[in-house]
Amino acid sequence: MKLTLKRPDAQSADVRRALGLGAAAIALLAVTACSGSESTGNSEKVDVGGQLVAQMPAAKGDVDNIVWNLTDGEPDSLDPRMAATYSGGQVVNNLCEPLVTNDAEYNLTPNLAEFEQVSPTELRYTLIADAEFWDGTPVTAEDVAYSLNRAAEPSSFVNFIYANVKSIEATGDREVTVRFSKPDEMFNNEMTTIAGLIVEKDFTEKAADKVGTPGGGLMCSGPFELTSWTSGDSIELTRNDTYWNPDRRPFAASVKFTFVTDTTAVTQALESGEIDGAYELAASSLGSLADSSVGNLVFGPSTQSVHFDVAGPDGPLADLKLREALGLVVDREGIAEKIYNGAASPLYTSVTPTTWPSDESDLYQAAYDKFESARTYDVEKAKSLVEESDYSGQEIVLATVAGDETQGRVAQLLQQDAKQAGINIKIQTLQPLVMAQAGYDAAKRKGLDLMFSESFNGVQDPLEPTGFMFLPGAFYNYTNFSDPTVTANLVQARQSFDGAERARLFLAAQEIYEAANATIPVVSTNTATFLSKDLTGAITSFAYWAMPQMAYVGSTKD
Amino acid sequence: MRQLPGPILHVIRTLAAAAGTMLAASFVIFVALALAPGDPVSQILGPRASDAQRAQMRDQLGLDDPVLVRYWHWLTGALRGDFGTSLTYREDVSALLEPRILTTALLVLMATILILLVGLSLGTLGGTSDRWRPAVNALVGLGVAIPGFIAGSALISLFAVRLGWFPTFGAGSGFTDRVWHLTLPAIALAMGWSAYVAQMTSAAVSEENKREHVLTARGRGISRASVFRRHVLLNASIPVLTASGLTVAGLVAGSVVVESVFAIDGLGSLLVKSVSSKDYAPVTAISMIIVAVFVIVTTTIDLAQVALDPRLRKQTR
Repeated sequence: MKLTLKRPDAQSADVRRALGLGAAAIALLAVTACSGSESTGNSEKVDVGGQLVAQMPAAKGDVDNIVWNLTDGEPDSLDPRMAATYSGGQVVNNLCEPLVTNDAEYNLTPNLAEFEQVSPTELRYTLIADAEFWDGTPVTAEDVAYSLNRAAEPSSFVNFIYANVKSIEATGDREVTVRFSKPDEMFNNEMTTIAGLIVEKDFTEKAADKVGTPGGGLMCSGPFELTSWTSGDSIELTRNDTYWNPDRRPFAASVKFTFVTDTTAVTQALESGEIDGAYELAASSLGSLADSSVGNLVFGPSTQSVHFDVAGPDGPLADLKLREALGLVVDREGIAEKIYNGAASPLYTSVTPTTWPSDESDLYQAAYDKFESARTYDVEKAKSLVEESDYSGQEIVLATVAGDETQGRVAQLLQQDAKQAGINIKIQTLQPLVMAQAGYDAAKRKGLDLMFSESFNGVQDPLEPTGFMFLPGAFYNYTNFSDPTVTANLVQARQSFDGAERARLFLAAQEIYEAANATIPVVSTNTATFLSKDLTGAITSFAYWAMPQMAYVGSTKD
Repeated sequence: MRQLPGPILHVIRTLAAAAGTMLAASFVIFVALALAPGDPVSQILGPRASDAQRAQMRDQLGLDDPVLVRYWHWLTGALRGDFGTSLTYREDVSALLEPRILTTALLVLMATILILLVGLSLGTLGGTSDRWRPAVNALVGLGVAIPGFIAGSALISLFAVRLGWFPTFGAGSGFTDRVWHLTLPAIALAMGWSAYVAQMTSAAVSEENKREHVLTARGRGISRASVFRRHVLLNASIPVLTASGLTVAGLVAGSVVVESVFAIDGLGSLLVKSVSSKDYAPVTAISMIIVAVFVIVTTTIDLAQVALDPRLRKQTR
């Protein structure tokens, strides 16, 4: 999926919202937000030191309370199947638990259950944890089957993850069996995300539509219990003292999530120590936070990325040479350094390196290196490609979200560089809702040639994003890309449970679809975390989004 | 047919005009929102919903009905006190508004007190004392020139971050804590308006000071304080009252910016958030509150002026 999403950068009277729509998990989730002009004052560079960190040194001692800011704003919902926003996903993963889970480096481990791929079309989960819901009733196979079936309903944001699922049934006291209409290697990975969180059946049935609203509450089994949600002000959690898993026992007795979205306000609250920590910080605030004496700013690996998507099959960008030329005038190094203040790295393929499965990363790296050298910033090469093409100076319209300063600056940089190569780019800003609509409605993309897109993957699997972009009729296949080899390989890879085989199939497909330049990669953005000097242990990779990340944060002292 | 007495007729006309204004404003707001681009369903269902799901949701929410039909539904509901359900929060608008109204009302009240204290005393000082006038004018000029969000940021970095006297954000809980949280925002909100009220007061007072009856009274040896109270202040109070009233109404609208700078969750920030997601129910409800405050304040001023000024009273006959 893609998403039109945006990083939190906002200023005062505007709003930023995660329109979250989204989907999380498989596919990327999309979050759209708009933001306002942020203050431009900060152009200091942040020294990332080239080193990305997935987790801070482990916490040593308990703390009474942590105040953590949700920089993307108040969640729309804490119902796991609807919590497909930065904020919603982050909070709910402290409350509700999945059957299987990831660590900070995306390694899959059993959690509530262990799993067995009984056959390519049958996956069996067996409950191993002695887990109880907050009301003291045990987590049963019936609750699990109920939760997964509920996530698979058509009205659920994450139902697309269940596209290949035929049935989910409790097949024993502690056993749930998922049967598939066709094999799906991705499903079990996706169960680590909001698509696989377990809720209590009785409570959820009774609360019905009100589940996960400020008034309706939630009943789960996670390391924290939901104490209160004061709409517009804060969400408070308290430690679940009967929690079954000692590895994830929280250091903090309570956590308060605040919803400050204004960039200046967030920075000031962090600097005054009123807020202890925050993720998803605006690029423009990183300069002053890096210098702060009250806390540490850490960059971690993330599956988030920024692209220019070709918005339709027609128009001047139907010319493949022109698309290739555009890819050469993107000054990725400059964008990462000057606009993202170091919180981003140049990106040369549609899929980000952090999305590669760790076991086969060498294979993926070798393929990536070729794209990197072929696509390095080169205005002269772009110029000759433009001359060879049929392009004769027509306006190329690039859509960005209104009020988003980071997008605006990236777009302007592209505009200047493209001009030198003879490409005439016009920037058009769209309201966040209109941009979100253009993401799925071809009629709204009429007149647009390129769309600024920000997206992330829910799991470490390159098939997740590509399945939504390069299969015929896929959701984000704006250019109607269709190639029999690509289709066959992507479909076959998803049905294969062998990592090396998947890498081979995928990389062969990548070779073909990348040549079409249907999306022009710009940068992969890093997760930026700020945490008070008194605290440590925070997960600083984007894996935080699908982990009970607050459980790890605690005192630096015993 | 017997004529109603003039003042009563005037009150009835004024009230009818107020109701008409509310009705017209609600219509314009509702239709403008409906015509604005963007589909609220894209927010509710997310980007991966199928066309059928979207169509069903639009149908369920009645979004495909003609605007006039939807407006009628909204209006009849509103008259019964039902302002609808928020699309994003899935909660009744009244439940969303309740805590926020208190926050914004307290903020506006605190700012009003500041404005009246500072604006009236500075204005009176500037209007009566030649010695103080330049200093007052300089202060007022500064107050008018500094936008609220800049003042807010500056106040936070000095009094909250540097000195640590006040919190940097939020609305607090419990009365004392709330007042403590809202002090800096109220100052930021009050600055520009205090200057405006001071300007109006200063002009009105100095104009009244030069009037013949004031000079005559002074000439007759009546004490300055008594002249000031009975002749200057009373007459100057009509333009000042008008300016102050509009100020209070403007504060509700102005709170949008200040609430955002201080991350206070009041009506203003909810309005901004709801507009961006085309969440009809909260947008119309909050807009109507703002319009209502304007209408009530202007109507009250209108009626109060009649009470204060015998000439106006005569005209209404």
